[in-house]
Amino acid sequence: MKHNFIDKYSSLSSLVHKIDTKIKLISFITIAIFVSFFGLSSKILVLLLLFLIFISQLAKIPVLFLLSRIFVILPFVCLISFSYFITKQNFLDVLNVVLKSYTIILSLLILIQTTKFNDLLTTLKSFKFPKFLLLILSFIYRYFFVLTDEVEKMTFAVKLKQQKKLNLKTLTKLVGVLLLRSYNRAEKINKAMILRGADRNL
Amino acid sequence: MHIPDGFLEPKILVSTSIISLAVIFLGLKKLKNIDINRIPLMGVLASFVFVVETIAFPVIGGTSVHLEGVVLTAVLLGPFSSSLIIFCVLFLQALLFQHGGIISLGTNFFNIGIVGSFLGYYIWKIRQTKIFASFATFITTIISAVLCSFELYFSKKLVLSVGLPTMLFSHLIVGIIEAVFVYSILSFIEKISPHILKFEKI
Repeated sequence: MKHNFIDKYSSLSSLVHKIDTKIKLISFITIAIFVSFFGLSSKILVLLLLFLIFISQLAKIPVLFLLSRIFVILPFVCLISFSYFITKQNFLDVLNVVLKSYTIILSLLILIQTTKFNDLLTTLKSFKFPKFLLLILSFIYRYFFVLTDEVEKMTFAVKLKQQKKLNLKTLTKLVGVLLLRSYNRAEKINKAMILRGADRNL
Repeated sequence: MHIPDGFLEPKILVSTSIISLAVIFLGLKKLKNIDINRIPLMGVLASFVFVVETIAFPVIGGTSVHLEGVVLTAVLLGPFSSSLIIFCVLFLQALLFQHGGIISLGTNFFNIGIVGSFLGYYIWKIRQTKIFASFATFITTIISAVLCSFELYFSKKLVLSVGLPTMLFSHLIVGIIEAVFVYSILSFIEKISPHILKFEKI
């Protein structure tokens, strides 16, 4: 079972990977705030985009992967371009919105794909991000892989037992089983943590 | 619907982010002195919600929907715990899958997390049955869709005559599917390990 589909390229080595995470995080936030709060024109956005593409190539992230993430915003683009079409507004505005959105996505992708997730969490910690939320975040990240394994096992088991596609009834039962299994796992983890001397100030 | 970056006007981003920050701050304050047994449960439930949200069902028109699990966590753990969990889930989704933006995280958290947790929880509290939980799920799904389209409308990106029917129709389907899911998962838990339902609701 593959486990690296989230930050696939974070273990590569390049110039961009070696930059301190703090610098990368701050520059990402600056770009994101600049793009979303100041009405930049499309020309500046294209220049920014070209610069980001250059950096992503320094970081050796494949272009196809970067392009594939534009599908995330596609439903919204369809929705607003349809309503621009009806009100006969300037279509260049849609282009501007798409450029804005994709610039932020690209800069985020560069940050995520060149940084290990644990480094990101420790950097967030040094920026006074609430400890409790960090704890939950690290829990999610760790148990995401365990639970996806569980899901894969369960769907495989169902496939072995019935030839038909999954229907809603089995699906809800599967989700219920998943919830109970994760709850049982939580209880075990809790006991293990207490045995090892965990307290509230983790 | 998770709104990506670049689609909303600054005034909406700022106003919803202030509300979201206030709720997170209050939640962290409320959960400061909780029982340590709760932390792993919250973490694993958070990763359960995260995994469930990655399982997407295809709908007509090429788009896909997924379950949210907000009301389910609110019913199991209480509104403040659930809203913190959903905040972490949304944050990670934005970070790792670019599903929703980082700058628009406050808005998305307002639409999905706060409305889902608080409204859902208090609807369920009227009469604590499975039917009310699934009813709450349906209502909150519809309300967050309406909020989402109004936010896009006030950012001058969407005409309500196009946006509202599309959003309402797609979320009607999502709401019904999710309500069925919540009902059957709750009855599953009730049958197999009812002690999960008796946690202190914070």
